[in-house]
Amino acid sequence: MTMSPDDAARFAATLDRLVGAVEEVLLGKNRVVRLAFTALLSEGHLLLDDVPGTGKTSLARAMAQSVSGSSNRVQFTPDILPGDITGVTVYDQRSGLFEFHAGPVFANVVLADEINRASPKTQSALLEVMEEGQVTVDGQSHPVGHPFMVIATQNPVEQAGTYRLPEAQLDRFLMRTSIGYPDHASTIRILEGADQRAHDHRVEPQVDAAEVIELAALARTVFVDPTIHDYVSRLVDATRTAREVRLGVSVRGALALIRTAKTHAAGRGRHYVVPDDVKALAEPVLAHRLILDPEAEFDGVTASNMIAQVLIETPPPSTRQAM
Amino acid sequence: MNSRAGNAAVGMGWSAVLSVALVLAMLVAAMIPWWPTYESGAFFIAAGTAIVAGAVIGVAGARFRAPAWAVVLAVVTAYLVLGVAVAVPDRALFGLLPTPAGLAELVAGAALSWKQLVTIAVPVGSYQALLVPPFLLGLIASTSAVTIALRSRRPALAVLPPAALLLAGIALGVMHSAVALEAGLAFFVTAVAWLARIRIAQRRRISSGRPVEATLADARRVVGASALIAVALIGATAAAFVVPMPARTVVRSELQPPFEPQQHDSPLAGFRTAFGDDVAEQPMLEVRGLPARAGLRVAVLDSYDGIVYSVGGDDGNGLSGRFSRVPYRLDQPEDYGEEQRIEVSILGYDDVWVPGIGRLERIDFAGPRSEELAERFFYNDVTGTAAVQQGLRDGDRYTAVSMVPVPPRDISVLRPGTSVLPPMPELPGDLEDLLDEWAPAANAEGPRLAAVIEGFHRGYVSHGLDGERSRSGHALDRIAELASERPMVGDGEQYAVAAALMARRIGFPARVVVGYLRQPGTEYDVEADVVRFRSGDRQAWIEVQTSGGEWVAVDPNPPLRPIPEKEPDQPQSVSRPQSALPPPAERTPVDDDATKPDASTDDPSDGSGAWLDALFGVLEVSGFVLLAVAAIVSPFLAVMVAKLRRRRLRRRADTAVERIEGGWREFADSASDYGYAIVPNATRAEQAAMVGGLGPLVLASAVDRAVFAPGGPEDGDDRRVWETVDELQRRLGETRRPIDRLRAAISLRSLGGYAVTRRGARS
Repeated sequence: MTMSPDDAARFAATLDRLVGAVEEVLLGKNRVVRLAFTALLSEGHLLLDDVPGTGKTSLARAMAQSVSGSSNRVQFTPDILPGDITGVTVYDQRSGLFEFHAGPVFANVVLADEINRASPKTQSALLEVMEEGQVTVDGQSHPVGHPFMVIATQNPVEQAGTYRLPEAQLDRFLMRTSIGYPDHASTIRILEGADQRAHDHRVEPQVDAAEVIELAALARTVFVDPTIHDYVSRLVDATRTAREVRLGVSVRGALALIRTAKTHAAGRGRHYVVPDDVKALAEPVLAHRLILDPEAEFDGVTASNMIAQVLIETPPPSTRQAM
Repeated sequence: MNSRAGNAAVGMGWSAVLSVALVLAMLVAAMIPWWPTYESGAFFIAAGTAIVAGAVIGVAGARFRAPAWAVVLAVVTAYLVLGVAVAVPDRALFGLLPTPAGLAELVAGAALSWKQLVTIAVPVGSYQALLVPPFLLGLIASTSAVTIALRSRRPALAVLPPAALLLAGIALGVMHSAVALEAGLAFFVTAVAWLARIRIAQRRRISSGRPVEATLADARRVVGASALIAVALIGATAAAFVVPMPARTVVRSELQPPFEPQQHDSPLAGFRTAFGDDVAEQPMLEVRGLPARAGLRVAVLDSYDGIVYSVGGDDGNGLSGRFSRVPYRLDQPEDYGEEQRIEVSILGYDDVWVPGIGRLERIDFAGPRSEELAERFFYNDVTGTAAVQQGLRDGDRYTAVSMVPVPPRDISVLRPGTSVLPPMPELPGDLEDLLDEWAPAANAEGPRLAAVIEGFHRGYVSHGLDGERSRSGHALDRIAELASERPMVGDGEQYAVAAALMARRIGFPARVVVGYLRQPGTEYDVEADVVRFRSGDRQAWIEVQTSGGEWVAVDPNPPLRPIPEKEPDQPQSVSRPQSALPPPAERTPVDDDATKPDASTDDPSDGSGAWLDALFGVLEVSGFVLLAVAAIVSPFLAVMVAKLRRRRLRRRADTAVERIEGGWREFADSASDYGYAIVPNATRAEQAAMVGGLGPLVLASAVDRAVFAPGGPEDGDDRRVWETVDELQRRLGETRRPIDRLRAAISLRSLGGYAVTRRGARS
């Protein structure tokens, strides 16, 4: 089934409402908010490379509220254990039964703050939940929220005492981006409204969870021309053959790019993907999946630079594939 | 041969046909430089047969994947089977079938004809085996080129064999080729067409097969090639107008001629031996058809060292000393004079020089030694003199057709030509004084020359026989003696040399001619129009070059008449007149009409001729101006026409989606031409953003929908897109100055770099 133009228009309108609602909390960050919702509606997870105080928690909470869902925040530390995340089974003396006490991961939007401070074992537990969408304790599976999205953060400045996420686990994040500091005008607006904007300011729900699930399913029906598949394939091929790259983008990365491009297209009111959708999402979807050559890194090359270079050098399709 | 026998089977579709046609065009162009060497229909047959036969072998070899040895064997067979009929046609049976003698000559010609070709005067026609070089080279070049074109992985190299053929034609050809420019341009055009064709074919092989895009890419290459050709045409045309064509250094010009005139005594040195009592009446030559006013020229001398007047200077390397073989015919300028035909029978004449008139066009020997004489016949086209190495003798006959310049009506109207002759020594003082006396330097050259000739006509003739007071020889002291003696006494030897020196002093290029002139006693059969020259009819006269380039004969010899007694102040010496004959009723024929002005020929009877001349002049200048303007404007027009054609192709593409895609590219190309930095690998939306404004963004969105949405475009989308494109193009130009719009119209950005780099986007 292919999305209809009407569905695309409805999808775009809904997404605009959601983005608009969250933007009331996160001023001047339209792009990041839109990317976050794109990840949510693409049924993926978001990794934010950000310093403290940029609004990560606000983003997670506002997103959860906007979709009438729940949200939890977990501050990762070196001594946090997997059970602290997923939950534990506790013996109830009164009932004489073991009861499962759900961890903070049981929410629609989970903010995993400074995930790189937790031990690899704990990171692994969270990443397993992200992949499976459920927690298995003592042989019993406990589904986490649906929709379910993890917004993990890393502090790019303080690296001491951290456990860097392995590449295989980075690959499980659909996108990586950063909120960053607001621009001057937004900062002024934030300062002017600081008194009025209470800390527990709630965002009005725009849709319910079921509607989010429906939107995610709808996004999967966006039409993708074979030339777009070819374009994405050429892009990931280019990352694999670039001299500065030691390990290019995996097939999972190519699939992620197509998936997010579909959501991006629907968010723009289109029922088909155009090369611009791919280009718009290439950096957040692909950059964190690249492993650069150490010499290139030493020369100052970054993964984002590489993706930009690949985009420049790889011609986008401009014609319909000959039948 | 650079063939790859192992390649895949070569399809003989239209592509191969086009390839072969272009290669043949290159070969035909490469044959053009050979033409001036032959100028005969036989050359067309030989060259055409070689090219066609080579092409057939090449095509067959490619079609049947023949190995290299089989192709070589086929070439050798074709050479032997076809060679006699086309390259040695005189030896072919019924003009077609090879004969043993023909085959022997053909095989020998493959090795020997090259040297023969460059030591013989041109054109050579189908003489002996001289067609072998173009036939053999053409066959090899054609086979190689077609084989490379059809079988090599680098078909562009097929240009090399025709190039080699072209260079060989130039090297073995003539020094002054009238078709040099045309040949070069023709080969350049065909070679560029071939290389463009190769590029187009290569692109088609690797492209994904979008018909409109393929056509556009091809059009770009064709436009590029056309622009290149236009530039070459402009350059060559301009060069042809501005730069004179210098003589080329070719093999022919570097070879030493086999006939060396300096090995023979100067014909003027033994001048008086012809007048001895025992030989004077000896019949020498019979000439039929000799024009009444022409002398029979034997030798022309243009180098004087103060002692002897000779041919070709001391070392024989002057232009007049260079003789080359003449097979049967020479081309002479049509406006050089009148065509005259003479038949000469040799009686007592025994010399290497072949008497003739004017500049030779054709000579046919007859008699028992005709073939031998033809093979050893040499000619100098600078002086118009001929020779046979073994010499003529009794019984030899020949017919000569020559261009003879019309003698001037009045010498005084002549103006000097521009030929450069070997330097001459200082004139003796007596001769200078005589020149000043007869023809003061204040006068113009023509009147001075006329006065000099008139002065010599007042002299007396004596061959110094029987103790006459006339020394032989023409060294400077003898010439000084002639100038100082009163009365002036000498014969043709002295008068011709003195007149030539004076004419050159005046400024006329002048040379001495030794030959035979009709004298009062010369036997002439009016019925048969046959003149029988005796030994005593030998004479020397001069030729001067006029501003028109013609060498006109002028006879300075005085009429035969009694020599008066020597003037008293001169040393007494008794001599009797050499001849008691009265002055001839007619002047000597060479310059007979020199003093008979004929006003009826070129005196315009009315002003219409001048008016027409002026009109033609204006038209000629206008034509050149228009040609120059057209040449300058043509590249720009070519660009505009290419863009119009590109637009039409896009708008009339087969499918709606192609028309829509073409619409966007038309807009992007326009924006590029107006100077917008359209990044090649940008998406349509990004390109629209580079131009700015909502219109381009909407158009990009509409085109993207047509291209990437399921179901493709809707009815009328293509029309609406093109309407939008027209509107956007209009907006691009409406705020610009007319000069900017013109600049955009002729900009190559959308045809060149931008378009080229966009290719990847279309693959």
